[in-house]
Amino acid sequence: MGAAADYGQLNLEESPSWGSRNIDCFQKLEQIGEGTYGQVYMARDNKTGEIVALKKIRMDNEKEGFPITAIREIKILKKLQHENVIRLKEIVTSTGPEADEQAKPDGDNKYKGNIYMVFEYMDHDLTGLADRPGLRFTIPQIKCYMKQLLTGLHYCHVNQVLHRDIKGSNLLIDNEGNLKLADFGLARSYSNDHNGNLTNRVITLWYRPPELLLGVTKYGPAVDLWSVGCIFAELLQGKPVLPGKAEPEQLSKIFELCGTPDENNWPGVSRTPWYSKFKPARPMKRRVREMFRHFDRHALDLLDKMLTMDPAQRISAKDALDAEYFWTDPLPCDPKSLPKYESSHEFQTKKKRQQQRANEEIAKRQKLQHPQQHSRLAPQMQQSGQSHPPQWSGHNHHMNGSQPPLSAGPGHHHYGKGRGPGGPSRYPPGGNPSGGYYADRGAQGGGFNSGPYPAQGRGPPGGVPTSGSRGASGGYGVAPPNYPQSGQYGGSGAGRGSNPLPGNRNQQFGWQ
Amino acid sequence: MINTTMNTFYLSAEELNDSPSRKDGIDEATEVNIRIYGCDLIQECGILLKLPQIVMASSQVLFHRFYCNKSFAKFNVKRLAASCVWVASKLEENPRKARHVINVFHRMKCRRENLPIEHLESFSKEYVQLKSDLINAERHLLKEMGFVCHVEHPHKFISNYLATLGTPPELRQEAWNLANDSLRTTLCVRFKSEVVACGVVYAAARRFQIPLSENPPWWKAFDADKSEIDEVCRVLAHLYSLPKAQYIPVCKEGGSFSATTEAWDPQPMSKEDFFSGLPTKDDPKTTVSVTWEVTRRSKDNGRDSSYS
Repeated sequence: MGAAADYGQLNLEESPSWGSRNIDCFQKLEQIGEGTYGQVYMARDNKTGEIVALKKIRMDNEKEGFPITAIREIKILKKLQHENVIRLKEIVTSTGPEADEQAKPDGDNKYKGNIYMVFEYMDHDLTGLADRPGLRFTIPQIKCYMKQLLTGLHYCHVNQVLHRDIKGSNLLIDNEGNLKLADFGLARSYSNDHNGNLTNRVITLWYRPPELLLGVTKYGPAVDLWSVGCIFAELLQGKPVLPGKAEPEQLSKIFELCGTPDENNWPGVSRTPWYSKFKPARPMKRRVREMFRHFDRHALDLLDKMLTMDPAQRISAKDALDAEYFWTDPLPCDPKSLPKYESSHEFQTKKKRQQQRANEEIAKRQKLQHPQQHSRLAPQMQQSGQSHPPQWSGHNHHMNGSQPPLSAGPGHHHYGKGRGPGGPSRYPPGGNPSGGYYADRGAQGGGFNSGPYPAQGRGPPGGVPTSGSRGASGGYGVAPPNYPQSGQYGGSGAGRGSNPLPGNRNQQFGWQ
Repeated sequence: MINTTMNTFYLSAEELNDSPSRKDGIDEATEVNIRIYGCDLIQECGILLKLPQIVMASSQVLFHRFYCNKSFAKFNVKRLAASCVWVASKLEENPRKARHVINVFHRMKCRRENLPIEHLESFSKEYVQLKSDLINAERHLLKEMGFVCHVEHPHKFISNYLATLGTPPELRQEAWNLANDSLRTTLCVRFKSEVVACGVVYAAARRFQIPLSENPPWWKAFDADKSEIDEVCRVLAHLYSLPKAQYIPVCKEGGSFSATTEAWDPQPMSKEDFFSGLPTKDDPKTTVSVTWEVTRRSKDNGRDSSYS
């Protein structure tokens, strides 16, 4: 036995051990994000003084235990180590005086505690930054952000991770000008040879590619590139370019911009699940180049390739990085050369705006709509485009270009904050995204059935008999030829009795 | 305490022998037995839940890791086995509901104790207790793992190794079976998956009397030592010499999952011809696995070796 002693690598010296520290090691400074899943806090590490972001994984009311989304996110973030991907530093718990050595905790049948993911702190998110009154991104700055976004995304894709929720508020930016992908709560590992079905109910509606809207469940990295295209256009245009309120409207907005898909420009589109349902009455021409003709030529070329309807023809992150756009003057600037902004996040900007509107209402004593209901209905991003001064419209009466940030405090983040950021109106009901984060809470809701499981099980994929004798479809009976039917070693009891498994594979909790 | 959070979680035999269970007065033979018993439960539960084999494999690794840090006297083996399956089903993207895991464990219990199989009512006290125990055990498990449960299995390497070595196809299934069985032992917390893979390839080749290059030794190419391979083989041979694992109530903690005194048909595992090198009377079906495609599927199905 002794022979083995040297071979294993011991990790006795690793510290601090992940998950072993308590939340008390941090001093919560302020809440910087809010979502359905819980909160995000800015906090200080008592030991090192380092500022971090704590994202709470809410555990109460969790019918299915530790959420699969959190398991995924941790697993994926541990795997991804890149300067353009947010770094998960550790996990801490707040179990209070935990009865660690006991099989059961004291008293009641529940742990009281929460679990927090500890992230490096970032000052801004892209949406929050873009929403800043008076702020206008320069061309080299946009190129710099886009390049970092694509670099980070390329890294994810090389590591076979789909982000599946690329949008401005998930792109965090620090005061060094670094951009990092965050919020991997919807991310999934995929592999090219893996033919499993994935849910199409991912990605915030405005950034969701046509193939998902058409019900496709086998997809790949191209879904993220569509989102990148939307962000790219948004950065150049100064406002979201495809702000649909619900899935059908989203698709028709896409058709209006990119033309209607047919077998010529998108082979196979007519076989997508919902094609006949959403097929437009009359064909429309692609108008990307017309709509964005004021963009510079290379930007337009790249955007055109990103907003390609057919995912198979859409540009990859790698090829996008090679685009002329990034290699012609003005070149992307050095991140470090970017201006340092006072911290801002969508969370903060939104709150600020709401507060202002609220004040205004009080002052006017008008019975307007609740302020929350129109935070982003109208285009509100300043026109960071070429000629227009920052301009606000809609109900944002006070939001003129010179408005200084109200809060002097640090920024408000969305470290993978809950879906449904932005004003409540940003993600309209029915658009799914706000339900996305901890999807398995309220697991019985719609949307769960839409992610059929990969047919990789031992038995037939669906229609497992609820009970009754273990027939041909029972666990033991269906080993395909070539596989041992298990020796006596494998639990000899399993061959008898009935199958207790109710349910259908397609109705499990958790998204694929 | 041992850090379980890295991709590399390995202990020496000595450290393993100094386990928390040992400190609670559980001798080595008993611990080995309970570990195997827990792995049997996981395997059976996984089959009943129609989980692919990779979930059972990951569950078993989590199970072994957990009991490197915690004692069988303090954490009931059945409860933990259930939570390992539950967590691994999420980890490996085949999530199962708590309700289903509990049902299956309940069913296995009834079967073993020859009790009439009764439906477990959702609002029954028993169910509520089981569920809350399952959730608590999950929490313990995750915390012990540092919330990072990355698991790599020897299976991943076997096909590559065999392809490199250009061995006949029947070897693959054999090696695969041995790899599945190896997860009943603590090999997964002692050696890297690559090493275990070399060990099972070696054992399989011996069994089929297929010569592999010894000069230079083939395992050098995969970064393993002969002494490690020998140890893997020794542990496997020992496993096959053991009788069917029995439940031994060592946990001082009572409560759900644990209140059983079953006896389930004890059948000794006759594996005497393990290293005899003789072809067995196995059904030929069980040893053919030609393509990668098929091998991949055997993750789902090659749950155990074909010795019978």
